[in-house]
Amino acid sequence: MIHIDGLWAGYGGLDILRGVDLKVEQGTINCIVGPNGAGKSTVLKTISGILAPRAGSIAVDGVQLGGEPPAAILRAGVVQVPQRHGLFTKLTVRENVLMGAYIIRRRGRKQMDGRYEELAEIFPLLAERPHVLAGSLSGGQRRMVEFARAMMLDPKIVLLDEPTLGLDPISLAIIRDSILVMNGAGTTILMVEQNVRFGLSLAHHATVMSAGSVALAGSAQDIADNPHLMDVFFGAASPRTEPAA
Amino acid sequence: MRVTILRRTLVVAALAVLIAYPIVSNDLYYQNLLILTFMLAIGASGWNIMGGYAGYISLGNSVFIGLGAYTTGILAAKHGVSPFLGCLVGGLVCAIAAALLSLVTRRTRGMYFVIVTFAVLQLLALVTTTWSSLTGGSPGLALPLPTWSLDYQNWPFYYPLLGLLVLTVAVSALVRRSKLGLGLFAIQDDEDKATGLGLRTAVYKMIAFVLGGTFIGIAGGIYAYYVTFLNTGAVFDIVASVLMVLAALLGGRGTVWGPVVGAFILEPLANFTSTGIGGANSGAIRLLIFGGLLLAVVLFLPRGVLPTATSLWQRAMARRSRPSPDEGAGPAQRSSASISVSPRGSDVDGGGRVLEVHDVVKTFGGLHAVDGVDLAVERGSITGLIGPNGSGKTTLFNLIDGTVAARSGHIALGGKRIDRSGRATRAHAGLARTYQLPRLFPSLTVIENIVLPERRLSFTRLWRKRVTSPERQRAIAVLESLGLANFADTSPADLSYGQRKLVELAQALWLDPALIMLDEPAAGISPALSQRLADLIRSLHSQGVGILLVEHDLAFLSSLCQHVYVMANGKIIANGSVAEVSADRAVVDAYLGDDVALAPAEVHA
Amino acid sequence: MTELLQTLIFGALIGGVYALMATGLTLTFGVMKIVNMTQGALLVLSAYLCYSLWVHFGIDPILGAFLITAPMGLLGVALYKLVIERVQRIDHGLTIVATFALAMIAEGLIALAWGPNTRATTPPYFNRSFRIGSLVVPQAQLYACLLAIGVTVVLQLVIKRSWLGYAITAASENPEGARLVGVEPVRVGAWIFAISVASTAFGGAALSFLFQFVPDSQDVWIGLTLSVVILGGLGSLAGAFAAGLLLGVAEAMTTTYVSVRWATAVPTLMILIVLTIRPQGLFTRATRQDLAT
Repeated sequence: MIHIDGLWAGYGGLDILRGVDLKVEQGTINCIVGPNGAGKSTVLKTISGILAPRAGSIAVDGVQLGGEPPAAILRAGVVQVPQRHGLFTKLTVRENVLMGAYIIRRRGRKQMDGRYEELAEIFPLLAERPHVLAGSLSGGQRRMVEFARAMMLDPKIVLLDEPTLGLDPISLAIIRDSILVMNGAGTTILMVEQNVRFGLSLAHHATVMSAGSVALAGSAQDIADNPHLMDVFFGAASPRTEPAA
Repeated sequence: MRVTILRRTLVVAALAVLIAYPIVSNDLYYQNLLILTFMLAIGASGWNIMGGYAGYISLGNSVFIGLGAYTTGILAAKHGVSPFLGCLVGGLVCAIAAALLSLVTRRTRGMYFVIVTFAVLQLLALVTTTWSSLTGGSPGLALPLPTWSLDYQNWPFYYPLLGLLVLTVAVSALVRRSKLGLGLFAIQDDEDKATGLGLRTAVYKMIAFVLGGTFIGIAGGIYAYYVTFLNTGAVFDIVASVLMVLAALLGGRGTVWGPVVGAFILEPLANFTSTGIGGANSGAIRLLIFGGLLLAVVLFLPRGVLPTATSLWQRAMARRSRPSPDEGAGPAQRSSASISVSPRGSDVDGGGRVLEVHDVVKTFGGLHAVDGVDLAVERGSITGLIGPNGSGKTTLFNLIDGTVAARSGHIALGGKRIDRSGRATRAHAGLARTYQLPRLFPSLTVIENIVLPERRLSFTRLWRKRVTSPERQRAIAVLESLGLANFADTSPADLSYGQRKLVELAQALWLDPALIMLDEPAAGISPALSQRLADLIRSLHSQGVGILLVEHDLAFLSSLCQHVYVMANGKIIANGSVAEVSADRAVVDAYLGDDVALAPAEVHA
Repeated sequence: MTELLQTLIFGALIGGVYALMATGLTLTFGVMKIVNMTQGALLVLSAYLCYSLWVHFGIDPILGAFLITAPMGLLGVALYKLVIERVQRIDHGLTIVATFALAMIAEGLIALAWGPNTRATTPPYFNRSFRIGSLVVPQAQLYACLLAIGVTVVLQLVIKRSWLGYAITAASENPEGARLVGVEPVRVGAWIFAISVASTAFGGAALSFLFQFVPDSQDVWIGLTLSVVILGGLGSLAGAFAAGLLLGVAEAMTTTYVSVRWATAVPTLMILIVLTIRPQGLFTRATRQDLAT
């Protein structure tokens, strides 16, 4: 589904990704974990087109998407939910969710409203408080709205950047359920998570990143049991698959 | 080093030439040009203290030329006061005006400050025109002609202005090198944060504005006598204001010599264009030239000539390498981190409460963000504060440190009420905090960041070096224990996110706080750094610092805290040990819920 | 009593016109936090364009305003693409300096194109009035004020009800979040400047038949429009309208009851008072800014 090959990317004079290889299978939940500054979020930003790759390729279903603008990537069915501040606080819940369909806005109100109703069944908040300003929602509620917005396009793949960041345990449970619901509807999930246990407990496949490249990859279970996992986090020497630049 | 030597040589040579010029040549055209250049250089340097160092852009600084000139003019024309005394009075008037203006605008920031200065200029121009009994109104005000012999030519204007320029630059350099300058640059980066570190930013800004205004005012007085005729259009002139800004931007905003270099480029240009272009369209063409030049500088030389040249020169001379950011895993850094602190008030007898919050209420619109909170932190204890997102924890922090004002309730630090005090006063009383996302000052080095906090306002201290040697020693020791000694003189931008959090903590501790509030210190940092952080918090605890900690990571929290408060919907719903509150039904309902975060890893089909 | 009522009518009508003149600035200030110091020059430019259409082709300035919206909109896009967007990337704080420079350039160009003489358009209604009893309602002011209401309502609908409006709100508040749903902030910025400068055409038309103007009139109008925006509170269109009315009435009162000489000081004085006492503007409420995310 997603094939990433030898991906390099960064800001200014700094390369954050130094040859990342990643494969995501259709219909699975995938989790990238790793210490701070490993480049986890940068991978997502490069896929969603916020950041242009410097080398390497990103393909979704065989179509090359590296370097395309975000709108083109949305059209290819890839939607990202950002780490923080994803919502537009001065728009209402409903307007925020509808913004998810911005690139297909010419298809008309009717289709939008229909899709909104469908999503309201999965995310009750959409039906309960459609005209509330997003700025007045709690952290967990904001995440719900962000998820619903991502689902407006009925995407093939949803990228989640630390969905649990700063959330309390109740919201955590709701987030987990929502991720499972989205995945149950056939959406492929690629998430980045700092909360390793949360991420690995949900995912089928996991990738451990360190210093801009992939250190370990495999089934989530194997990764959780891998004795090297903690070494990566504590900064000890890690078995690293050397990237091909 | 090389740049410094080169610069000194150039400055001395240039000064010698300027001193000698009127003696060796009596070309009045060039003397006039130099006098106007000195004026502009003084104006731009004065502007730069506020605009370049503190980042407060004034488009109205020719107000000071106007005030200085009219004071001198009115004193000379109506009371026969010598212009050399008059211009000093003019400087004094400007100092008072600048002090008043900065008092009135002490909370006006960014573009609003720009607009206010623009409006003040327009208003004063209007007042001088309208108040004709004092100022001569729109026809203008003629000054008595100079009484000295014509043999002296322009010397009585030339040398005082040159002297004033040297003085202005010297003061500007002194400011830049001192604690005052350090504070001004911090204000430019993040004024709120600077206030929270105990800096009386209003005082800093007032000193900066008064210094700049005074020099420009004195120059204005000399100028009045030089032209011997004043009208509002000529002195309260927006173009003159813009030229000051333009000279500073062109030469290099925030540098000592940039404004001077800018003036020496700009004024000759201005002069040649005004004498070179005649006819009906000359005014329009001048506008095009200066507008175009200003735009070109903003677009293509935003840092200015001098900094650009300096960095080119430095790059040509040597390539310095920066230490690369790494999260620090060397063996030396594995030793547990600790910073020595002498918390204020700890010498006071016995325990007692370092922080008491009683029935504090804060509403935003109709929403009760903090709704009658009672909370206490025992002296030298680690107290936790947990609660769902949006429950009001960060707002409570903001109420305690004075970022926002409470609607009602009491807050006491070490037994003294602080809820009506400003943020700086609270910092002086021994309160410090860190933020969820670290807020370091990017234009200060790491070590300057650490020594910036101010435990009390002292006017003599303001003029000391940015980092005195005892401070440097102590700060280096702190950085060593954090494993960051290599970064002392680099920009905080070179640090990783986790390292910035550590530096921000060290910065807060420089206040020797009796209480430090930590807002999610472990969020988003690696386990290795989080371990070092926990060590650090324990070491602070053992030294008697009171700690109030917001954290979502329960494992992290339960390993540290003796006492935990739980907040929900703006209220404290439980408090006690971690075990006690976890067993509390209300807490479970409101907060813990189905505790997935701590559940062991599950396997998926 | 009649004098007071008459003063209020004059003040309110001219106040509506002030709001109209400030509309463009309100938009850029409100959604992009850009103080566009060229507003005065753009108003004067529009007034000159209306003047030329009036003198050479006899086109009524209000009709002329509709004709010049398209070129003015394009000018707005050019300003944004060539200058504002670049400067924003270098240092947002310098946009005010850059637009100030642009205003100087614009004034110079206007002076070269139209010369230094005083101009005004004189459509048939420019000195006619309706009379209600002993009260006078000048037609020119009335039409300009109606134009102001029309432009404000249309813009308000665009912002609150259209996809473009949502995109503007989204991109101004959260550029990266906007990009993730396919909104390109740079394109939105160009739209904002297009609308802002195009709407200035109407203010300029009103200026052309209500006041006399010379190239450096822009100084007066930038001061006035700034004070409308500041009084109204950072770019709320409705707030700016209320502020315009207040300012117009205050100025009319000063003229009637104090002295016409001091009336020009009213806007400047208002800027100072508002910015020092209530920096967030008169017609806005403080909002919760510290909500953790």
